[in-house]
Amino acid sequence: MATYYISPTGNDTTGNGSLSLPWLTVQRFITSSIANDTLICLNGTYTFANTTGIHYRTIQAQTNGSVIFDGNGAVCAWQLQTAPVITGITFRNIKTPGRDSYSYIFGLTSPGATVGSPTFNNCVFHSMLGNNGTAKDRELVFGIWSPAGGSSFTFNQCLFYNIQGHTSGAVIRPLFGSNGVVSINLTGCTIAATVTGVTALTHLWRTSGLITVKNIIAYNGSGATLNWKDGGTAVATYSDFYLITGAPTGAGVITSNPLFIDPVNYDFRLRPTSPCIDTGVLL
Amino acid sequence: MGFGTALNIHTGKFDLVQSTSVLDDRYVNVTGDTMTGALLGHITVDTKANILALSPAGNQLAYATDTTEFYLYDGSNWKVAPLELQTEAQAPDMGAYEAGGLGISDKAGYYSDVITDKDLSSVKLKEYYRTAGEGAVRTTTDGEFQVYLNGVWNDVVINFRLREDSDGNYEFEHNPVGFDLWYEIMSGNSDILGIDGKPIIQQYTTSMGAYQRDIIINGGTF
Repeated sequence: MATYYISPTGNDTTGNGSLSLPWLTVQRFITSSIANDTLICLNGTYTFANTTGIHYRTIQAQTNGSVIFDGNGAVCAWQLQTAPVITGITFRNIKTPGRDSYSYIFGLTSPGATVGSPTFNNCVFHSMLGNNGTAKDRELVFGIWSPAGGSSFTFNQCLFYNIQGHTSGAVIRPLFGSNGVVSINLTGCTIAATVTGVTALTHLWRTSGLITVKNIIAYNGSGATLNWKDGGTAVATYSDFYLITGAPTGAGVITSNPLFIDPVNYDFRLRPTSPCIDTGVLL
Repeated sequence: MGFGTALNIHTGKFDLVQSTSVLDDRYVNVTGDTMTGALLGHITVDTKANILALSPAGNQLAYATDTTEFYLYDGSNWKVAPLELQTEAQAPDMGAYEAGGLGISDKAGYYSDVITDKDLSSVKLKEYYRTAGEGAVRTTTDGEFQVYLNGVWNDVVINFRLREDSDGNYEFEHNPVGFDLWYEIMSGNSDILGIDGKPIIQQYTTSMGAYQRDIIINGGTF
């Protein structure tokens, strides 16, 4: 298991992936590494670019919250295959792809036998832009189209906000989409649907698989109906679903306003009177 | 040489301490002495009133169970740490912030960059030293009160009123900064009348003496 480095000032040609001579892009790391290798992204802001074949790798920030991948409003995607682990990175300003491209910002399209099973830890996803292509089920932030058996998405301690749905005005505009069975697992996450109007999300999850959540806050600030899921089954404990239609019930589940400090300006810390303080469950 | 026990505030356990001399007569010799007087721990836990009634021989740390505050005796006075302790549950907060290391909820509403859910009383608003952001407020050395909106500092105008006159009509008046009188905005006439019943200030001008000129209506052709 080797460890490599990229830096915003790195160079894919002259660098060798070492700390002293880092590369610039994740793709360069993917190309030059093997399964179970680790990439450390040195602190700073990178350009989010199309990257394929991300599997059996760990991609982590040098310091959680200090590594940003900025799409600058462009259409691009990461193909996440089997068991990539992504930690401590902020992703922003990325536009969902069109149908002829990778179709999800994070995911897979028709991967055949390849199991897609990414895990995100301590990541922030915000200011994602929708698209208006014809494949409304696939031009989303997260998803797998025609998934292989055993596919899953796992989010631990992640924050989601200011995310547009499909901009065509489609009836179903989910955050995550699949036409098959994909398990979704969330622990200690905050999902704030803050986009309003015709590009607001209509659903969070579209899958035939099992959605398991614990210690999460799902907040609907769109002013319109936000459905928990379309299809699949859900298990929830010790979570808050505020103005979420069809939210699951379970031990410790509440539906109260989480009382963020300033959700309009994306400050999702909890006010002292928040019903979410100390009401999660030990992991 | 003597032995004694001391509460280790870091481990929460009693340490066996050895000294070349007896520290003070509150320490017990484990070989058989009889302790006299109260054995005081490193932290006194009691009500605020009982703590403040103590006069320790040396520095003493205390925790008040009723006010949830820490106190320190510095040899002369009891000093209190100004913030109250908050009850912390074993269970974590829901959501990404505590678990994800994005920030732990402060139950008292004090963060490094935000104070929330508080009333402010008897405070002054002074100059503004940070990069301005929407909603920022300040007072200036020129006596202005300003709010930062739409990317610029805007004066918040003060000293305006609606006054009901003798005819039962309402006049919209202001008291310009630095002046004593109130003026009807549209006409510039003062609400104060002279001995002849005319406003002593008309159209923001006045004449010397006790009598004012007749009110002039500007503009138009009759």
